[in-house]
Amino acid sequence: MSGDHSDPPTEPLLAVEDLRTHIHADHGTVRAVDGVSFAVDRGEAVCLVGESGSGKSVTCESLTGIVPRPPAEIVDGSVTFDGIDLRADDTDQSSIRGARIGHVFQNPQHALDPVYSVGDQLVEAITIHRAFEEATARERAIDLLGRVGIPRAAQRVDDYPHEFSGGMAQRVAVAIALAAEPDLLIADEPTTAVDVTVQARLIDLLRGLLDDGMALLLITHDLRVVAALADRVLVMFGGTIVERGPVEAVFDRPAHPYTQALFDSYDGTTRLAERPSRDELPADGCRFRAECPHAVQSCAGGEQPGFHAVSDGASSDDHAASCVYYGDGYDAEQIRSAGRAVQQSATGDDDD
Amino acid sequence: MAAPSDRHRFERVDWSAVDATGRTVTPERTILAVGLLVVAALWLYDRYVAHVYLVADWAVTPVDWAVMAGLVVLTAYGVVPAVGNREATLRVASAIRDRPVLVAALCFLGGLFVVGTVLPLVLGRPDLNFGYAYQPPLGFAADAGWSPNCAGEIRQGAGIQRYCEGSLQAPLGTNGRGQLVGSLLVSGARVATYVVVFALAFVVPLATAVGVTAGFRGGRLDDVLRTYVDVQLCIPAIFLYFVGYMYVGASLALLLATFGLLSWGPVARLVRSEVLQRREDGYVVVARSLGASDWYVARRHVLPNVTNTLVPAVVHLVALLIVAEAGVAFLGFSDVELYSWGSTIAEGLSPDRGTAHQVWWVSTVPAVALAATVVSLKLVGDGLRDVLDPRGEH
Amino acid sequence: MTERPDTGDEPLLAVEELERHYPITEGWLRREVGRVRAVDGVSFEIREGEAFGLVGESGSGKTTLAHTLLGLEERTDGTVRFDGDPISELSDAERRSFRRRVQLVVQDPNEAFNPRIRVGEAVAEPLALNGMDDGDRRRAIVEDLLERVGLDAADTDRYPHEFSDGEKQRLAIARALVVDPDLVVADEPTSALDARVKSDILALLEAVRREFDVSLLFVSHDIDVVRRFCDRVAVMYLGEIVERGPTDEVLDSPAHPYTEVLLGSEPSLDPSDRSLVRPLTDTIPDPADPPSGCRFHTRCPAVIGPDALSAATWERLASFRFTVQTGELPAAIDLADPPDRATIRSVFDLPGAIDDEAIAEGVDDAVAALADGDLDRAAERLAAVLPSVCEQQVPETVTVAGRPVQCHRHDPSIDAEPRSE
Repeated sequence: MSGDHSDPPTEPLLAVEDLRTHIHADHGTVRAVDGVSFAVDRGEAVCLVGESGSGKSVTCESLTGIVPRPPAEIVDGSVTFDGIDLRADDTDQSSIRGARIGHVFQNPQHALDPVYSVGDQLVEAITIHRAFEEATARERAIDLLGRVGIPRAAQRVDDYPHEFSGGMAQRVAVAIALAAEPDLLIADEPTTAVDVTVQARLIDLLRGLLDDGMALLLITHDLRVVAALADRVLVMFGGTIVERGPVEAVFDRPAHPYTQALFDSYDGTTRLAERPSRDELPADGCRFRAECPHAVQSCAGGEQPGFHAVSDGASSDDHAASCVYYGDGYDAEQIRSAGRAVQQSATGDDDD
Repeated sequence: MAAPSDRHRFERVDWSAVDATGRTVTPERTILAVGLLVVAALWLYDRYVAHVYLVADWAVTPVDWAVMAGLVVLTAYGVVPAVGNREATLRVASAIRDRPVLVAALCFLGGLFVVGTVLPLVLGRPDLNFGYAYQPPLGFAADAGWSPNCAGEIRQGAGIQRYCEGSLQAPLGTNGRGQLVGSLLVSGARVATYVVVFALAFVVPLATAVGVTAGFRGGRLDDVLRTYVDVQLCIPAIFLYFVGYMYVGASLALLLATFGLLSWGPVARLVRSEVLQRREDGYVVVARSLGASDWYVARRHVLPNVTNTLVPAVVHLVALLIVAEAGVAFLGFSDVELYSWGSTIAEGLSPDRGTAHQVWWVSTVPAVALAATVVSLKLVGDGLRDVLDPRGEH
Repeated sequence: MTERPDTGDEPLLAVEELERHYPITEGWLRREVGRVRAVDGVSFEIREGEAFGLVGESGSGKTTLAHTLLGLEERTDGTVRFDGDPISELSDAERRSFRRRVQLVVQDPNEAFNPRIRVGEAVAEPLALNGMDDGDRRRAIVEDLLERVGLDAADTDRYPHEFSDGEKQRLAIARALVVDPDLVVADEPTSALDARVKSDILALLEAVRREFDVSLLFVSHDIDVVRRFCDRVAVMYLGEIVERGPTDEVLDSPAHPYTEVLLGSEPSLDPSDRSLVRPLTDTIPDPADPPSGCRFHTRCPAVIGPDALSAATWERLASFRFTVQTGELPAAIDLADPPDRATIRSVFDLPGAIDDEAIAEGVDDAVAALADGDLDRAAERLAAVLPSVCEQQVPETVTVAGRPVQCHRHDPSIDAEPRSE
């Protein structure tokens, strides 16, 4: 362990700087994560929103190094967790992963081993990081099941994963992630495969964990889940973060044209635009420019556009977008008004 | 195409005009019916009127009739669809061309097929010629003491040792009865070809039919079929063959029947489990909602998608049957008149007291042919699996 | 129920008391030991040109219902009329015509196409299966159609894996339209798609509906999609339709408590409104053994209680009662090592004083039984003193604001008011 300096209270729990993960495929290298920076404070819920292929899952898997390598390769960037450099060669990632950072995935039935009872899997997760007597570990396993809201935990601890419904299996997966009392829970689309009623209970569960002081990094494509859980939002597109800010601000004034398009699709504004397929996304500059109605010459080339504060005079640490229009020399009002149109749009049909 | 102005209905299809019932006469069925009728007519004539000599003095046996029927089946359901669906065939053919190993293996098997079906009819049985026993293959020499005569040069060795050199008269050498090994190889190829044709024309369709039926129908029929396959897997084919052997003696037909009909269980199981997996897939559900029959769905949607597992499994089954036939022949329980590779190998190993190595060619040449056949089958199985999958092109 | 008027406004599809039960069998003889009532007495109709939504949780039977309509599943009972004719009495030719006029779009675009068949051929499959033998004609129709759904005519020669999810769903829609159907059954057509692609597909379906003049049966668990797309909606729970009516009315002022729960479970897009509606218990009952009376009563926040109790008291007692009945006790109560009565009371937040003496006594007994670890006795005792009309009577279908609802609270003969939100 390398935490050799005392943490100043302002230092975030997790700090990610310029993370870059490339995936080497037969037909070339995909820059799945291309310069992502963000931070998660203690007890904070940060949501990473994006559609499939935006790189949100690869980002989170890169943090603790569980991304399969090869084909993936973390080419650059730093990940600091509680003062520990997770990317340093001498850091034992497995002592952080599971112990201080828990993972929950979309499909709980994949995360659970079908041939062991959930109790066995929980006991394993508990004893892997701390030495416990078998009986004590089992007690703790039952406690954990109870904590995530599994009824009759004392009986169900001996059941096998297939005996749990989707929602209950996801609770078990959360219990396993909580086994070592992590400071941060990374949840990758935990509610995507379940019904809304079950999703509502899982949201309740995650809120409870946040109230207990745990930090949450939630990956989702569902803006409703973001609205229900997030403190801060990161919007991802094409391997880059395009907008970040407090949840109220982002939902109130979606600033980046991509974010606006995302909200658009919830509001029911119909549009039959040609979309470039994922392979054809630009690999430099603003990744959204091919689909962006406001794209200009300077959107192309080089690194992604810098982050600019969305509101005039505010700090770019607050609500910021990676869009040239919010920088000097452009009229941000053009985009802002488009955003307002999004918020007020009625269900209009554009006839073709 | 429809006129651009007609946006409302793109093309008026008069469904009462096209709404014909499914075609009952297809090229496949025509070929199958005609072919089987011809074979049946010949057979009836042979049986009740006069013996038929189709080619030279070839006395047609029951196994030959079965294999002829098998060839008709393979033509109807292998060649005809391939010709009918030229586009797909060309795609597969061009994919095959990119794989030299697969091309080589296919050429070998194709050659084997031609040799096994045509040459025995031309060459007839391998002739006995005791005067020229154990002639070595061309380019090799052997102790001249093995044979009264030597077809090639006799070379003087050290002391009284004399060597007989191979000659063009017996390019692959001869066995202990002076039969040409080359001729024996051709006869053995015929047996191997029969095994392949029988397996592909009867055993594989049977396995597939059972698998598809069990998978689609489910319920009690599935239970019965599955239990039957389980029981069948417990019966050793060789045991049943020996039981039959006690009554009818050595017979290729008996061997094909017992081994062939007891070995399809694993393939049927495989097909069944694939059917169960695929029948919930969207395209199967859509086809069924359009009123497609189980057989249509199985042939068009399920079987083409299980080639990844089915083709290697089928090839494995065929290879297994060839090896089983050779094994039984090796043990001496097969029709010696057929000169299976297995019995030739056994013959080559029969000179005792550690001298068999001196006449190595008698056993080695058919053993190499057997091994090459099995290896080619394996390569073809894996190669076809890859070229049949359009996703493999990327 | 559904009369057949001779006028022109007869529904395209009329479903009456449709049932689809799956027998649960045991052993070699396949003796029936029970049945899963996946669809249990469902009635609705779809008018020409209408988009009809079917919503519910997974396991509610909505996909089974769609498959039963299409003849993919056998009907156990009930009638389905298409264009006025019961489909069970169709002649072979009429059945073929029915299968042409009703088409299906499946949920997962990734498995909607046979990976070994070029998409042109796949989209043309309904034509070929309907007897169109002319390959050139099929190709011409498909090429035209692909352009209409936003793809390229040259795409016919490509294989499914060369398309994105959204494009595959366009192809699936093209395949459904190729035989010029009157009704398209879309089973969760957008639930596997990203938000923006989903929006595109819905826009396409809307355009298709106008252009091709088709009716749609839209099976979905996504309320957003139904709200945006459907004219009318039916809400399904455990094989039954609990409420149906015009989409705006049902979604804006739901009459059935289940609809309320379903709508309230969806988080709001406004981050400042984080309230979520809770059902009484979280356990979804087994469709092989659905609850008596109203099937939703074990989870219903509006379940009707004895008159003697105040609403607040009943709410807590109902939660206690049905939690004990389902046996899904919270982790704090381990029956192998039961806690004392006070703990049980506090875990379930039971009211200290109950006005009705018999009920108070029964609740005391149940708590005592639980403290002894006897769950069955507790459940029996609670069922005896806390009866509910919701579990005793199957709710009649009553008309609320012009739309049919199955809820005791709306039944004028039952002494309970609809809960106001």
